[in-house]
Amino acid sequence: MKTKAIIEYGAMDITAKTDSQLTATDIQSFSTANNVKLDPTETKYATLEHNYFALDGSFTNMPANIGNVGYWSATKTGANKEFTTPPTLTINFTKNHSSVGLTMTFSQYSYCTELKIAYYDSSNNLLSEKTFTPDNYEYFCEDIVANYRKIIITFYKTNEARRYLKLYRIQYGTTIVFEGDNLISANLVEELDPLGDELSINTLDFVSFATDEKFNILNPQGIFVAFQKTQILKAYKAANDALLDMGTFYLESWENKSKKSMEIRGIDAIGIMDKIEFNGGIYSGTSAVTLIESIFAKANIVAYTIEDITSETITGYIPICTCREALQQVLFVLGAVADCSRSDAIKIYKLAETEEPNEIQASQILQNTNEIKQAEIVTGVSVTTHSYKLKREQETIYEEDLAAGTYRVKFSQPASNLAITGGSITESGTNYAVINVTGSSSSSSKYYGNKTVTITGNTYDDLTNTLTITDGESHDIENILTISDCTLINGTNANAIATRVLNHYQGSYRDNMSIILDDEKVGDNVIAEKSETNQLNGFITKLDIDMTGGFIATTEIMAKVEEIDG
Amino acid sequence: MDDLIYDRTAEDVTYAKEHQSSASTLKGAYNYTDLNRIEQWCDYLATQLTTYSYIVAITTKTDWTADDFPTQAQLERIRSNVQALKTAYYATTNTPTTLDRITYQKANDLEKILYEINENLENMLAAFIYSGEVYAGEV
Repeated sequence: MKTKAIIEYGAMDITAKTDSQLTATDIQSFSTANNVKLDPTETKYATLEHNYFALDGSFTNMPANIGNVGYWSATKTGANKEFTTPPTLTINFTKNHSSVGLTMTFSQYSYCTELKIAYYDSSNNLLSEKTFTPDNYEYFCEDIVANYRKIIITFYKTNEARRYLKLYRIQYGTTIVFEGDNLISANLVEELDPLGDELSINTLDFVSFATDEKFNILNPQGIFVAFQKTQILKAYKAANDALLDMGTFYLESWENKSKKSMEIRGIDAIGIMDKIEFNGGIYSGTSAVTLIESIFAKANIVAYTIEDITSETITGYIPICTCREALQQVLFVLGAVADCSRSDAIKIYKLAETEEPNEIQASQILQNTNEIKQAEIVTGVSVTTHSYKLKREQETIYEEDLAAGTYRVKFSQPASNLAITGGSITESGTNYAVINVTGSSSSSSKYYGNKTVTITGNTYDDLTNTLTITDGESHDIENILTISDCTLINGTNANAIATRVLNHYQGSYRDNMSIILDDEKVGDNVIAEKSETNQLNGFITKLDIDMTGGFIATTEIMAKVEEIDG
Repeated sequence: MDDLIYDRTAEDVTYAKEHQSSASTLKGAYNYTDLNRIEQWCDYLATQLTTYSYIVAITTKTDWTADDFPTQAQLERIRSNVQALKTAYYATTNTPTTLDRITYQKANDLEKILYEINENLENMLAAFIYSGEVYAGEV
C-alpha cells in the first residue's frame, strides 16, 4: 500500500477576524457588512437579477426575514458586468495584523471578477495595493503584508451582467499544503497515559522545502512575516485514494534550516491548554462535566467530547495552574483519559478492554524491533487525602502599597469571604482577586502616590491523612508509590484511586516494537503478543510515527499477560 | 398584455443558465417581466370573471422591477391568485402546491391555467353572442 504524508498549514492571521470592523458604502437594507465575520452559509435565494432565477428547481424563495447573507451591494453591475460606482468595503482593526493575503468567498452563483485590495498602516499610509481578477467564487488574493491596520476593498466587476456583489466570507490568509518534494520529513508523536498520571501533548514536527522565493526566510516579503503561533496545522495520511485525518496541531515554533527549508513544530489542543492559566477553586460535589467544561472554556477549547463520567463529581481543591494541569488532576481522580489524536477534538473517556481487541499482525511488525520489559514493580500505593475546612477567623491575606491601577493578586492559599480596604475587588475567586486602586495616596502608605491595599478573608485548612494499600505479598524490597500532591483526592475516593494505581502497575509489561501503521491509535485495546497459551492484552500508549518514511510507527503498549481460554 | 408562456423546456433552462448575460430576458429563467405578466393576467381575468358574475377578489402587484426581491409570501400570493381564479371558474391543469424551488414545469402550469381560464371565458362569451342571435333563424 502506497502512503503519502500531507500537511496543511493554515497561514491565517488568527486574530484579524475577531478584531475587524467592516463597513460598506453600497449595501442592501437586509445586509450587514460586519456579518461577513460570522462566515454565513449561502442559501441560493431567488432574486430578479437579469436571467439569474433559472427555473431548474434550485432556487429558494426569500423569507420575510432573510437572516445573515453577508455583504450584498445595493447596486448591480451593468450590461458590461461593471459597477458604475464600485462598492467598497472598509475593514478597520484595533491592532496591527499581518497576513499572506485574503481569501475571499463570494456567492457560488455570482462572484466578483475584479477587485482591488489596499492595505494601510496605523498612520493611514498605504502599505500595499493590488488588483486581482478572481476566476472562482473562492479566491486567494495573495499579497504578503505586515502590520496593517486598515484594508479597503473595491469591487469592480461580476462574472455575469447585472449582478449584485455578494460576499460571504473573508479569511485573513490561506492554506498552504506541504507534500511530496515540499516535505523533507514529518514526525508525529501521540501519547496517552492510561493511569492519567500525565496528560501528554501530541506533537507534529516536519521539515518543509520550497524553492519559491516567498518561502525564503531571508525575504522580507516572504510568507514568514505572517507566521503566528497557534496557526493551524492539519496532518493527513493519503492511502488508497483516501485521506485519513492524522490530527490537528497548532504552530508552536519555526526555525530555518537553510534558505529553502524550514523546521516547524506543532502541538495539539492539550498543548494549547498548557499555555493558559486556570483559576482553580474549592469544589464540593461539583459535576465533573461542568468542571471540565469550565476548564475548556478558559482555554477556548470548543471541540471536545466527554463520555463515561457524566454522573461523577469532584470534591477538593485546584490551585492556580495551567488548564492542562487542572484537567490532568480531574481526570486522574476519575480514572479517565484525554486524547486529541486523529481529530481536532479532545476526547475524554475511560479506557476499557473490548470484547475482541485488535491484534497487531506479525506482518506489521518490523524484524528485530520487538522488546518486552516488565513495568516498574510497585508493591503498594500511598495516597494523601485532603479535606478543606474554612477557618472561622478572618486574616490578612494580602497587603501592599499600590499606585492607582488594576492588579491581579494571586493568593498563597485558598480563601473566601474577601474584603478589601484601599481599593475595590472587581473579580475574585478562591485563589485570586482582581483589584482596582484609584484616587490619591493614603496616609498609611510610605510611598508617595501609593495606597495601602489590604485584603482580608477566611482561608482554608488543608486537613490531610494518608491511606496506604499494598499487594499483600512479602517482598525483599518494598516499593510504595506515593501520591501526595493531588488535592482532589479525599476520604471518599482515596481507596479506589490507590487500588486503581496499584492494579495498573501489577503484572504490567511495556511492549515496544516498530510497526507499519494501519489504523492503530493510542488508547486502542490490542493483543500484542500471542502464543498458544497466553497473550499480551493492553493499550497502545505511544506512537512515534515517521510520516514520510512509510508511516512506520515506534509503538509502546502497556499490557498484561492473560491466558487464552481453551 | 404579453402572451402567456407555458411551453418552456429543459433546453430553455439550460440555455438560460449558460447565457445569463444575454441582453434578452430568457424563457428558462424568471425575470421581473415574467412576474408582471402573470400578475397582469391575474388582474385582467379577475376583472373579467367578476364582470360575468364569477366573483374573484385578489390582490396583485404589476410593477415588479429587477431591484425587487420577491419573498416566499409574495410568490405564494401569486400562486394563490391563480388557484382562486381556477376555483372561481374552470381550468384542467393542476395548480402547483408551492412556487418554492420552482421548476419550468411548475412555471408552465401556472400560466397554462391562466391561458385555459381565458380560453374558456372567451368560448363562453362567444357562446353568449351565438345564443343571443335569437332571431337568426327568422330571416
